[in-house]
Amino acid sequence: MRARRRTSIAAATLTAVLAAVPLARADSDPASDVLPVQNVFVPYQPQVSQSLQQTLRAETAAAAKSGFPIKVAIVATAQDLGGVPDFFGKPQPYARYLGSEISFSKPQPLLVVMPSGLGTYQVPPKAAAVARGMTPGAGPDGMATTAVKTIEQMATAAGHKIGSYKAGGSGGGKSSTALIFAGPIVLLVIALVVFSYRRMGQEEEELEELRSGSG
Amino acid sequence: MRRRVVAVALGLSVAATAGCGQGRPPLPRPLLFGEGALYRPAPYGPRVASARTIGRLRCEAAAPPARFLAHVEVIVDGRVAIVPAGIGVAPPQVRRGAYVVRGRCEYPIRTHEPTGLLEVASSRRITLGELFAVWQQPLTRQRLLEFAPRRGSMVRAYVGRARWPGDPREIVLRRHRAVTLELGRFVPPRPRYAFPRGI
Repeated sequence: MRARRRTSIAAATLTAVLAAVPLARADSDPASDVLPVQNVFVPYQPQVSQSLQQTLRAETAAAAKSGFPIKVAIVATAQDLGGVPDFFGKPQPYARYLGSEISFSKPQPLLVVMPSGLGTYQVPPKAAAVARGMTPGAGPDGMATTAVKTIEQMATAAGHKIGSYKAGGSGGGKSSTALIFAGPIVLLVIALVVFSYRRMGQEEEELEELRSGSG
Repeated sequence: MRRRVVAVALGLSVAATAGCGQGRPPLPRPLLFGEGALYRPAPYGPRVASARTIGRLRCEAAAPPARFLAHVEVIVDGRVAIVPAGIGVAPPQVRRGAYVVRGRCEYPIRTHEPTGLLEVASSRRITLGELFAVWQQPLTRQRLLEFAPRRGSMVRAYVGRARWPGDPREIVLRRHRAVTLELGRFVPPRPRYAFPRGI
């Protein structure tokens, strides 16, 4: 009887000791420092091209506007993980880790893209399934392109349409960039047409006056 | 009943050690940011704002010379304090999201991102004390940032995982050296920091 009690106490003590072992490490993954301030984390080097970074930022902004706020971390190498390189090749565990780091007052939906796959945190199950089904493109640019496509498909799966606010990227994604440049030109053409129209009107009036004067 | 208690306790023990027996360390758990202004110190004070020389460090407008990277992490009472972007970069600073791209001039020790990654001019021997001087934040054996000193508790400094025995200000910032500073509750410093390649 006493032996059993001793065994119970010993086992309970062992459990308590193991539970008390501090597993928390001094985290220093760069993404956790950057994402509270902006929506997108990209590798230090090799870098994602500036145009794709812009596209990705615009995509997350558009997603947020459509009611699907999400942050994105592109992790191309173990060096992008700083103090937690063991997460490299484990997108889903890292998504949980990073997501809990950057969730302050409320859960922060997150998409992690690594060469080995994608991970999500706090997104609807249908959207998570979309991410699981995606294959990352090669290199930082390929991964960023995958992120852009995934966000759009995740938003759609979650019942949100990102719409025409997209900028850059593949397919129709260049509409917003085109609008930025085309907008002023269109306005200029309209102004010229209006100006010419008025000018024509004035000339006609002057002609009329001349005719009536000479008549 | 007791047998059940023993079984449950042993089960929990096995669960707690799961992964250890496979030769792989368990994945780390996140360490959270601290709340409040003390955990988010400003990147510079009035001396950097006016680009004055600090000790032997001058703010230079020329393109940054060859540099290397080191890393510093600050933990107080088990919570992370942010090492902000823009330390050693005199205003007006050009920011891009979380990053400081450039400023009026830069000191030989500076941060361009809020990740604790330090850019150090290769030609200089710069100490942690000089980083904090440029940052204009307290660092002594008793004080870390603006946190009140603790009775009987000193600032603990680690280079990698090794405890630094002396004054933390004397730690020289070498290439790929990772320094952890702690005050209050102990958190095991990370085993290593994976630096970007080639710098």
